[in-house]
Amino acid sequence: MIIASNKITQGQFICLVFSYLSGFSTLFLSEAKLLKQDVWMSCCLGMCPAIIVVWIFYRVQLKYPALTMVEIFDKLCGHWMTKLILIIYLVYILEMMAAACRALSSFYTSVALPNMPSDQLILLIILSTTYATYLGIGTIVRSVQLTLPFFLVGIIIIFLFLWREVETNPLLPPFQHTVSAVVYGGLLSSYFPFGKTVVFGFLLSRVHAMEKTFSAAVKGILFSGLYLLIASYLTLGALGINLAGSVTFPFFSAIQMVKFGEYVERIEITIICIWTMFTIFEIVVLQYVFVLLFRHIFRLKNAKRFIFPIGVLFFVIAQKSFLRMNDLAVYNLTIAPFSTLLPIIIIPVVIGLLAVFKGREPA
Amino acid sequence: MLSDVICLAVAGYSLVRFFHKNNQRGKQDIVAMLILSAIIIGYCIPYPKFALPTIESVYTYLYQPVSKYFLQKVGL
Repeated sequence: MIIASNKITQGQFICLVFSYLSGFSTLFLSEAKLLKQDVWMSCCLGMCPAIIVVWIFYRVQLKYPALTMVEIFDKLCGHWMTKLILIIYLVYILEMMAAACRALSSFYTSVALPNMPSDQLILLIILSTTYATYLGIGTIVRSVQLTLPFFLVGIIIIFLFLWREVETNPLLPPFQHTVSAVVYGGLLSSYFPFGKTVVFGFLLSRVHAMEKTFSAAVKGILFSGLYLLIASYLTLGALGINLAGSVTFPFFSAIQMVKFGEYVERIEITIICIWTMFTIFEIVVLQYVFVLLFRHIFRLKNAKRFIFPIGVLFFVIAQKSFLRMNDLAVYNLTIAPFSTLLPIIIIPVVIGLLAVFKGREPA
Repeated sequence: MLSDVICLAVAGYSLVRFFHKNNQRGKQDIVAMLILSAIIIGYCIPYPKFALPTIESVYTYLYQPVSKYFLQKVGL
């Protein structure tokens, strides 16, 4: 049963969804590299499955308001099938976490700390996320609330200064790509970043006023989509379509162009700090949900004792995965859009259908 | 080096936990800790040949044919 304490408000939930999705969504801009001026289409296409999945989880949660999502899974699928489904989600979380850790460490070793070993960076990241997970969801969302205004002010200033570098509309002429390319771009967007929303299905029962959680989650997704679109627009506009498609971190390269007056340059370092925190929030949420699912699979009495060993597991998996930057880029472009379909779309749809059919059975 | 240290530390920690908590905690707790430790050690084994495969490598093996087929069909 749901514990009454440790609940989060609607506003906190919006902040959490936004920061979780926006973490390093603008780091690679894979869709922008693929679709160039038609990137807005992939972004819109990518948001649709995420909103539908959130709606499914929301309806299922409303149907069983006294249960958590994992207990609902138990009720709908049976004990052993639930374990199997939750293991799929654990693997999904490990996959996303490894990609996030490696992206962050590669970014730092490429642009800020070239002599720092990746492993040590990953260790630092995992130590901080493990501590945050230990403190609980309430502390995590309060930290997000504290950081978000700094991020918003910083990013709005950067956007305004970057706007001056855009001379022509980079989204014109539109419709220059085939339908299949746009659909594939949509698949990329639905995997990353919007598909990550699926983990919030397991946190819906922790939000106050459950009937409003859907609109809160959608607001978070839309704000994140807007941020991604503006970042793509400015990157394509400031760097040009060809350069944006060839550099590893296009948005970062674009914000490097921002300078105040004739003397204040490299302002992007400030943004990188807040950006890093958002990526860490993403890993924190993943780790927190991992602990919840792990506890349910093994019916643990006290999951707190497992938080540190789970952190060690996160570290060793992140350390062994995506050893080269190119591995991560290729995996994100070719494998992950397919490998994540099961947890981010298929399982939620099946759960939704099961909830509908079980609801038709006589009481 | 870091992996070796983690491997040894986790092996020692899980053994201590197993013998120390065996009578105090539920059986599920011990099973969970042992599985978690086994996976961690499996990733940290100093001989890469015997180490557990990463999720990346397993999924690449499983989904590469699907991905290749799809990308070929859409002409990308």
